[in-house]
Amino acid sequence: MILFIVRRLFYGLLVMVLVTCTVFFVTRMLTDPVRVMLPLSASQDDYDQLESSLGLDKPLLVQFWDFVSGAVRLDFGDSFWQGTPALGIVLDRLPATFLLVGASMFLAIILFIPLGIVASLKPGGWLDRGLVTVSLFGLSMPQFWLGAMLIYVFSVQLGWLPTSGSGSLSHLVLPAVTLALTSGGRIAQVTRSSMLDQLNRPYVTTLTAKGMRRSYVLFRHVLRNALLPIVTLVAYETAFALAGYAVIVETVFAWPGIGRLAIQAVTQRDIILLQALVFVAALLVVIVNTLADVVYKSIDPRVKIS
Amino acid sequence: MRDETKQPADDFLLSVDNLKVEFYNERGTVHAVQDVSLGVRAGETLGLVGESGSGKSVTAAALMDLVPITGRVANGTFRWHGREVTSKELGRLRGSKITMVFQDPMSALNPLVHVGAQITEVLRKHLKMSRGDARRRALELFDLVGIPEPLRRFKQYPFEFSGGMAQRVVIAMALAAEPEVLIADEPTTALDVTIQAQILDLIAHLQKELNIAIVLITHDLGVVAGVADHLAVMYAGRVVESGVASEVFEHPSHPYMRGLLASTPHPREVTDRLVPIPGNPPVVTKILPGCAFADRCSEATDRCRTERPELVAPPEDDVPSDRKVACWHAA
Amino acid sequence: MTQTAAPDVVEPKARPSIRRAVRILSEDKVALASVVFVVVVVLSAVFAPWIAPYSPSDISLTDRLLPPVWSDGGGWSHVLGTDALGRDVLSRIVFGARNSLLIGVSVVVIAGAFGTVVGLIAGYRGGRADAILMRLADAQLAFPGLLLVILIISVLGPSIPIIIVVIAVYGWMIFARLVRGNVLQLREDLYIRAAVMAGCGPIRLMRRHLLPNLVSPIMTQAMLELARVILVEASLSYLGLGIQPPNVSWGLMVAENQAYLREGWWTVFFPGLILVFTIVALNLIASWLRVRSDPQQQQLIAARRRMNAEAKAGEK
Repeated sequence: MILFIVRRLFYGLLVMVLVTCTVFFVTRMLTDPVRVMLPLSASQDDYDQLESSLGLDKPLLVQFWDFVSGAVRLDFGDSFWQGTPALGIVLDRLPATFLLVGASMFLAIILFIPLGIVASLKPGGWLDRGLVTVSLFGLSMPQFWLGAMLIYVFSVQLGWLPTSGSGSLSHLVLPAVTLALTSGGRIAQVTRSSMLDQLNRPYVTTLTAKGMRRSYVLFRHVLRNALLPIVTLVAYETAFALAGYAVIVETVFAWPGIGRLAIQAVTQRDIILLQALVFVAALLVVIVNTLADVVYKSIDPRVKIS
Repeated sequence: MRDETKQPADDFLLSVDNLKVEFYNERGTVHAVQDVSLGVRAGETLGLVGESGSGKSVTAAALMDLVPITGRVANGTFRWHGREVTSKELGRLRGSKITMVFQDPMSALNPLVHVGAQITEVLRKHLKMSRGDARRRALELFDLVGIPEPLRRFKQYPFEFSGGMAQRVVIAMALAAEPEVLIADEPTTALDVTIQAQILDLIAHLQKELNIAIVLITHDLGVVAGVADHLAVMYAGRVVESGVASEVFEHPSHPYMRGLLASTPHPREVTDRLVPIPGNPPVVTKILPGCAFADRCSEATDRCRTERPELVAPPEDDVPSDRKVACWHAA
Repeated sequence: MTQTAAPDVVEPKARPSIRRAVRILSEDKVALASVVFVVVVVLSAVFAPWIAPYSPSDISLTDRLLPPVWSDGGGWSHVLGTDALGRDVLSRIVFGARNSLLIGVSVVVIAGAFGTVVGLIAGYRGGRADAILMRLADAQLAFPGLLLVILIISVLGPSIPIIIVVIAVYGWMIFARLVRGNVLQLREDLYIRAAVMAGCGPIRLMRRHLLPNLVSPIMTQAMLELARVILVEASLSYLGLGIQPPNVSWGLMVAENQAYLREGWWTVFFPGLILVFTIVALNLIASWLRVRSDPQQQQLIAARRRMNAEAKAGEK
């Protein structure tokens, strides 16, 4: 198992390298970052000054080396916008995003997995059809719209919850629910189809032929087998939320996490900060995926170390 | 030799009369089993033979109340130890008194649970054993079915077993609760020929030792040849010939059985050519009058196509009482 | 004796005809409704200048925030109301469809083509090529998706070609994986091997034998991807990194009007609603396609239908 984890982490390292190269390629070779960062009214002097201060006047290979060695040392430079180390700013905002994503994943799991399981037991029944419809709409709904509508109903009209910001539990409710509904839709779908798939397998017939009771077959055998794709999906959704949806939901609700930070960095044209953000996000995704692989392997003994 | 006055149904452990099973799909109803009556006695093996689609597996499933949700038992009188029971009641005997061995051992076992647990769960459920006792008994069963290094194998997962070994595990699972009837549905079809012989030997040996009744389902005559005491040949959802196995092999009455024998290579005989039966077995979506085999039968006459022959004793004298054929031209 | 050209060793699989597809489609009401809806959206997008009652940039400061026709103060002149700048919501939705569909379809075509080629190569060649290509695809799956897209677009500028390319690069892997998986399976099919043994070259093999079998799964995936891409584009536009004003996009409409939720909920509600329905419809079409091509599913459904019918008829 240790060997497995090490191999997975090594693979993750490879991914990080690829991400770093991609970021470098895009920010240095496809465009002129200095021009992007400066306002249109900037003079040639301003340009030269910024360029040298960022080390962007050096030859590309040297830049690459600086970039990579900086990344390894976790030094991304100072944020253009705020002047303090970029990584520090990102780490500051990270807990807020963890809280949001954690709360929504928790909600999605305790709500949608049991629903998916129960629905799969009577396929075609009303719960099943209801769940399929709800999850379809859930995963089709743009989060920014769902968020806006929830704000309208619960904040503007009913006044139960605040419209945006953070600081209390009531601030967390709407954003978490928004995120949970979208991820939950997909989780319910996969839970249901995974259960159905297992329930149709020959070993279930064998278990019935052995005279084992339905509830036993379900809890001791089927659930365990069905869990595999679900684990993979939950990990995928979490990673996706951290590195993706969070941006949208945090923007809608002005939630002070890394997602909102990203948009602010864009508005401020702070490429330094964006680079740090992408790096941290990539690291998070790698960690989540590795954890998921470990859980998967501990359930399924057939998984070979690739 | 059977006493001619004795009712054959009296000493059957498990039997069914007039079984009718239907399946439903988008095109209509499939009459998988139309009117089957058979039974099995303690210490004996009933060979249930037929091509794919003859209804043999469905019959076995019906005996255990395992007909899948796409079908249902439309008719049938089930008897256990001579006493009439419902299909559901038979279902409750699953795993303890009536057990099944399936065709593909790899998919019959849960790939994520080690094999030892898959046996002990039967022991703990049906014989109410404690964990320690169940474990010990499971290891004994491994021995019984001929699995070497039982201690090491106990903790292994199905994918670590070969086909033949896995089938032994499945057999051990089926025997764990000391059943009275074992239904083996194509137990050797998924295995290599050499392993087939081993498994069949094992089954025969176990039967003698444990005096269980066995229903051996197969499409391969070679499989039943040495093992079955009685034979029931099925075609298109009905039994077309039945009787003591050796009798049926030596004097096949029904053209279908004769055709099967002619198309099966016999290891000791040198034949010029194998004669296959022309055509394919039907999928019965509409019950037509007449014999279902008529289209492929070389001896079919008009009567065969309009009147269905009943399964009765052949017309000659000097024939054992449980010998039956469904043919107007029984030889 | 008629002269016939030498026949192919094996016949390629027959393609399903459109007429037959329509007939089958009409059996499933939900799928039919979805197809109709999508067709309506597409037609509106194509014929937008002729269908929309107003130009999407018709600003009218006197007609700001008019409610939809069924509310107090609304009227038939603006069926779905107007936004904060007096622009007709319905017209903007119709024009917004243009941009969303343009980007959506372009991305799916590009990502689909590229992914299919990669998948074909990986599946057909196997071995080294397969391993490398799939590693690449997997690695990209581990990229921090949206954030990276945001970085790239903010650096390169949110022009439509850039958006299309970036989203396409973001999503080709799913086609590659799908095609590769199918090709690996197909390779083992008897008639493919027969064709190879008869001397069928790789290009011809792919064109005549592999591709026809791939059409169905690729189409299904394309529907799903279109739905996903439309959602991504809407999200990007919402964040300000997609379609830029004065162009219209459903996502952009939501962003522009979120501040006016209190006074004009319809400005946010309707663009989002049409988004939801479009995506739902595409998903439904995709799952209908998938169910259609799986015979086992068909049997289960039919069996269940029959059982219910028989149970109702009082048999048992």
